Amino acid sequence: MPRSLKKGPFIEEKLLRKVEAMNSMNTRSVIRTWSRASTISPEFVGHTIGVHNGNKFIPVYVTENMVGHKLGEFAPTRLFRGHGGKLADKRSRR
Amino acid sequence: MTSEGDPGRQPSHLVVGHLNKPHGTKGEVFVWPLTDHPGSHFAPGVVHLPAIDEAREPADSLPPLEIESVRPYRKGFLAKFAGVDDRDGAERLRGLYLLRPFDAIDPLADDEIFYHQLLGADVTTVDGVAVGEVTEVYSLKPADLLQVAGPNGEALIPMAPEIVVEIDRERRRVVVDPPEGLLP
Repeated sequence: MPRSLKKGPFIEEKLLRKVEAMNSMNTRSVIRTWSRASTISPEFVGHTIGVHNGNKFIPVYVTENMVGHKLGEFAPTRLFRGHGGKLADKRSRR
Repeated sequence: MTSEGDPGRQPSHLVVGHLNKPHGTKGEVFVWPLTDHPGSHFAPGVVHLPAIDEAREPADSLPPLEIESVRPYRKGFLAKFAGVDDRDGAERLRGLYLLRPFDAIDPLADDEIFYHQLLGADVTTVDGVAVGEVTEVYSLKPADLLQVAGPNGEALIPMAPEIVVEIDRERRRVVVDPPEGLLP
């Protein structure tokens, strides 16, 4: 059952305060959070959030199309190194 | 052929797939793609070089495998190779890796880089401060994650264009503009 629209999206208060403070000062630094359930709001865009995955903080650079998703979706709790050794035809894109 | 320990040189072959297990009784094998461009490698007529271990040279003892027919299945493909017509023949292919010559691999786009080119690359900041060396690349969405080990410790750097500002494939150098707190 989805969350009631009346309540609005859940965003941890402390996290939102930090993001808003950085926006007002126009600064950029990594904000660490354990709140994987927080919804990404438009204020987060352009910030890097260190999302805890149970072991370490995974830096997540927030882009526009991540708005509405939860932070935890971008910080997997298992980091898979991949098959095929180091010479698989896998590419990384900037 | 470049070994895993010498990622600086251009490899002669790249791994494009893994033959997981036989499927059915007509010689089909389930292929797990290990490439970002499966369409160009898993098509009828394409010849693959089998290898016993991952990221090794093609095995001399094994003949090349030409795809006779292929169809998508779950997250991979069901391929039938020429000369393999029954399950026993397909069973012999179980566990092999499929290699293709580097020349047959689709060329990189301007903003792309192979994982093996990233591994071992030097990472510096835009100010010229050395951060370390890329030790691992994690395939994540929407941006891959670089694990960098340096004298100050280990760092995870997302491959976002706002953070990774330049990649020099020839000199194997990655220039980053990290926000405060990203680097150890």
